[in-house]
Parts: sequence; structure tokens; C-alpha cells
Amino acid sequence: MTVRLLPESGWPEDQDHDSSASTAQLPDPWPVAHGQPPVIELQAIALPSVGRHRGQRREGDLNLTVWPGELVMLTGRPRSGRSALLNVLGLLDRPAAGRYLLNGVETAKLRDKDASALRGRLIGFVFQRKILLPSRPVLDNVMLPLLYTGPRGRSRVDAALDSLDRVGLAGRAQLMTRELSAGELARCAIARALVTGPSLLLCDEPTAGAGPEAAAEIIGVLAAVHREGKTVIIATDDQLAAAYSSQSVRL
Amino acid sequence: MTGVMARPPTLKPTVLKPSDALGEAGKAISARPLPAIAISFSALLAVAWFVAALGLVSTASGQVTSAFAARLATTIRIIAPASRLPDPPFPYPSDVSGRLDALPGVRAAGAWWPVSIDGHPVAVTTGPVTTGPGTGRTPAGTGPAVIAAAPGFLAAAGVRVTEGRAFGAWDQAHAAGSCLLGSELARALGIASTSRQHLIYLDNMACTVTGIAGSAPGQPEVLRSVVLPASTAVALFGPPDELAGAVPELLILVRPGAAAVVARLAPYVISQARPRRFSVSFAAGPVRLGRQVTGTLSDLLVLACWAGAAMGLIGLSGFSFFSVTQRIPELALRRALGARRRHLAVHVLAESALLGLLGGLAGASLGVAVVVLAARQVNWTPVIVPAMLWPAPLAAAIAGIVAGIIPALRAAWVRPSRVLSEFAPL
Repeated sequence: MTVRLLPESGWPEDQDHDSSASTAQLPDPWPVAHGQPPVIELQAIALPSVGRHRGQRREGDLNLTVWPGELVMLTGRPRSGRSALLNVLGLLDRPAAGRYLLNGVETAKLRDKDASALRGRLIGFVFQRKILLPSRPVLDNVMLPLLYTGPRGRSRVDAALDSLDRVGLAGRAQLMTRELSAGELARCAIARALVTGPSLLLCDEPTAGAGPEAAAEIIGVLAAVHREGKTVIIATDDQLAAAYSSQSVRL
Repeated sequence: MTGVMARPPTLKPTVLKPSDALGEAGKAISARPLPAIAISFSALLAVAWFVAALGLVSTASGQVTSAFAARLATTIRIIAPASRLPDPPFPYPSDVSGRLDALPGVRAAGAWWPVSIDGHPVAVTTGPVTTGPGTGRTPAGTGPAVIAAAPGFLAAAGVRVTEGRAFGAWDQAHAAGSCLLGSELARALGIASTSRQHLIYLDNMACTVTGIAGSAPGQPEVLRSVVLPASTAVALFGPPDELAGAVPELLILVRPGAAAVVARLAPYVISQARPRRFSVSFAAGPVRLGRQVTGTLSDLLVLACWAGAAMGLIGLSGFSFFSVTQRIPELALRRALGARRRHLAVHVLAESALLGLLGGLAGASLGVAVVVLAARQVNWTPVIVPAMLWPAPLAAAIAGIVAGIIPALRAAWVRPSRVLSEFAPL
């Protein structure tokens, strides 16, 4: 697979950047992350194969470095591998080839215990399908990750309500998820991803299925999260998101 | 490039507390009631089957035991065969009745012997014979028998006096000239009532009839005999003559089922010095058959229990697997949110254990109801063993855990990346 990393917006003007180049190297270091190690380093990785190519090992050519506090957009055609890349970044899958360092940790040899800890405490994931438990109220859904990360009782409820408040759904905590609109479902999924206080937020098509207004609200929420200093990676073709991004990667 | 670490340095592993696992199991059950009912229904059926089979077999065993107990021997006979040693005429101690009464299971005990004169039966007449003693004797083997009864014999033989009274301790102590007639002999002698004091003559010696024995299940011979107090018999005819065939016999009436034990102990109670001198006999009764029947019922019980357990385990496992298959997207989501493989397995096991427990409780109640209703239908006494009843729900919970192992393994190895992209939203 040929991977091209094309910056589309948000490059600092003082950087010397050749926009026509197809390169695996991003400007290093990104200005918002001076003095800090990168959150993500992909070194010549190949995405895991799907369908009839499953199990085949290939040479990887995807390189990516994401610095703390960046908002990165992943763009590309459908089936270009954006979701697969997010799965790799979220430790839900392993690359077919290459190295993936997360906060300086080599992920290839992580044990289940450590990978789960990283997923539960460091990474927040918003899935494309907005998977929520249908027979549970919104509050229960948002509290779900806290089941594995520690806080109990009232503090668990407080954290979930706080997270819902951040996405503008505080008043809908007791509703069942089937009563939410598409935009509210997306924000509920974002609240669930944020409830553990992760430093890295991965969003797969967060505005999919939402109307223009709802999409704007969703992008606004993600931009607010980014402004808090979190690293956000969004797989989307939404142009509004592009306006907030610090780098864009086209697959 | 920065330095590479093999594992995150300060990140605490994710955890799942038991209370959270149980809470999630409860929520999952209430959120998906239909699969939950299907799973717990198989546990309910299995435990109901188990408890009902156990209860019905116990009830039937109780009935069989009662039926066989009614046919068990309740009479023991002990004699002291002649030996080379010089034995006293009466081979039992004078307080033998009291000694044997003290044994558990003994209702009454007493000795008796047939009275004869030089090997000839005693002549029984309703009036004096004028030709002199001895001349009016009934030929041997044709006349009515005369029985000497030591204290306790009448009770041991189950003698029921239908007319008058039996002779008692005073008659025994004073060798009173009184006797008891068997109902058949009384009819033969034309004595229907004891309202008038009837006298009969035993070898021309007068004896007052105090009562008529209507039944004697332990010694039916009494109904055709004259029964004398032992002391009176000795006074009139001398001690029992073994050479003439008058061997004193101990008759012991015992409770059903106690015969074997009493028969083993009685010789030692009578004489610790020479217990082997005595010959003990009792009707064996259908003991072996009873044991065979109850053994067969026990085997049936074991088979029924195993069949119920296997049925429940298969049902639980199948429904649990089906339920897990339906919940794969949810499990993948949990995995993506930080759950470890073991956490997913614990979720599934906790849920199937809880469903097993709930089904077990309901099944135990249903099983008890079945036993009680069935027993009431046939007028039997329901027998339910609490020691087997209370653990039944716990066993169902354990069966739930066992049945959940394969589904739990299935859940633990869910690949979230595939599931979350391929499965439809929940």
C-alpha cells in the first residue's frame, strides 16, 4: 500500500515545508510540543491486512510522528485504511510490519495487561459505529470505562456527569441511548472516551450520520478537548475539522 | 528518536472488582431478560428435576421401607438344648424377662413350656373324674395342650383377652390355681363367658378360669390350650421335663427391624458365662428383598441426578454460548475501553453463575412443590432431605460457572478491531 502524508492545513509558516512531496516524515518537532517526546511514532509500519490479504506480511512504508497537544486529521478515500490505522494507534490491532511507539513504549511486545492499561487510561476511542449499550441509560454508558480504571461509587457518577457536561449532554444523563439523536450519540461516545481523562483521543468518523449542525457541535467539542492540551487524532473528511487541525495525513 | 521502553512505566493495570462484576451481571440480566430467562430456565429445569427426583425417590424409599418393616420378623425364639453339663430344670434366670425388656427394641419377653406328665398330655375336663387320677387321661397327642407361662409370656405372645382377665403378677407369685383358656378350647369345652366362675380340672386338679384369650399372633397355639402361671405349673406338675420334650422356650416380641440385633445380644443378656448354649431363631423376613429394592431406588436416584445435571449443564452451556455470541460487539467494546481478557471471562462467568443461582432457587422450589403434590396424590408422606435441598441452588451456580467456561473463553478472545468494524451497532 502506498501511503502519502500530505499536510493540508495548519502548517506553521516559519517551517520549510515542501507540500508536493510524498513523504513519511513530518516536521520535527511540532511547535506545540517543544521539549516533550512524541506521543506516537510509527516507523515504516504496514497496516494489518483485511479480507483475502489477511495474514500476509508486507514491507511497511507508513511513518508518522504525533507530538503532544496536536490535532491530527486522517483523510482519504473510503477503505483507504483510516480505521485500520486508528485501530493500530488504539492498540486494538497490531501492524503487519514496522514499529509503533506509544509515549516511547514499544507496543509490539506489550502484554495484554499493559495494552489494556494503555487503552483504559491513556487512550480514549470514539468508534465510527458509535457503539453504545442500548438497554442502559446514557450515564451508565459513559461510566462504562470507569468500571476498569478504578473510581467507585459517587466519584464514578460525578466523573461521568462531568464528562457529559463537557459535551453538552448533562441534561440527558438518564435517557436511554435509543432516545438520542445521531449527533447526541456521537457526543455521548465522546463523553465516554473522555471520562477516564485520557491524553490521547482517537475519533473514527465522529460526524458520520450527523447533520451539519450536529457535526459542527461535534467538531466544536473535539476542538475544545484539543484546546485543553489533549492530543486528538480524527479520521474524517469534514472540512470544518480541517480548520482546527495542526497536521493532516492523507492515506 | 527517544528511548524505547518495553512497557509503560507508571500505568496501573485495569481492574475489575468482584462487586462490579456482579453488578454488571445483574444489569446485563435485566437488560436482556429473554436470553437470561432461557439460560436460567435450563438451570431451573435441571434443579427441579434433581430435587423432584430426589424427593420422589426418598418418598418412595420411605414407603418401601415402611412396607417391608411391616413384614419383618417381630418374634424371636430362644431355647436351651440339652447339654452334657448338669443344667438346672429351668435354664433361664428368674429375672430374664426384665433383663430382655431392657434391651433396645424389645417390647416384651417371657418363657413358656408345654406341661406334660411323664410325656403324656395333661387331661383337661370340665368336671372331676371319679375313676381316680390318671385313669381319665387323654391319649398322648390328642388332648388340648397345657402351657406354663412365665411372667412376660402373655405380652410377648400378643395375647388379647376377650373375656375376663389374664392372670397377673399376684397369680404368678402365689402359684394361684387360675388359668387362661384359648378361645377354641373354651368353645370346645362349652365355656362362653367367665361371668360365672368356671372351674376346669387338670388331671383332676381344679383350676379357676380367669379369662378367655381371643387372639395370640405370636403363639397361635395358645388358642387351643390352657395357659397356667409358670409357678402354678411347677407346683402342680413339677419343673419342665426336658426328657419328656418339655423344653422351656423364651419368646421375645421386638419392634420391626430390631430382630437381628436383639437375637445377637439376647444370649449374652441371659447368660454371659454360656451365651453359646442358647439356640436363637427368628423368621428372616424380606430383609434382602427390601435392601435390593431400596438399593435399586438409590441407583435410580443417582442416575436421575446425573441425567438432570447433564441436562442442565448442556442447556446452560448452549444458551450461555448463544448469549455470548449475541453480545460480542458489547464485549469487544469493553475490551476497547480497557477490559482485559480475564475481565471479559469474569463478566460471562459471573452472569452465568448468577443465572444458575436464580434458576437453581426457582428450580428447588418447583421440585419441592412437585414432590409434595405428587405425594399428596397417592397419600404418601413426602420425604425431602434438607441436606440435599439447600446445596441445589449452589450446585446450579457452580454448574453455571462450568457451563460458562467455553463461552467465557470465546469472549476472552474477541478481536475488537474486527468486531467493531464488522458487526452492526448494538
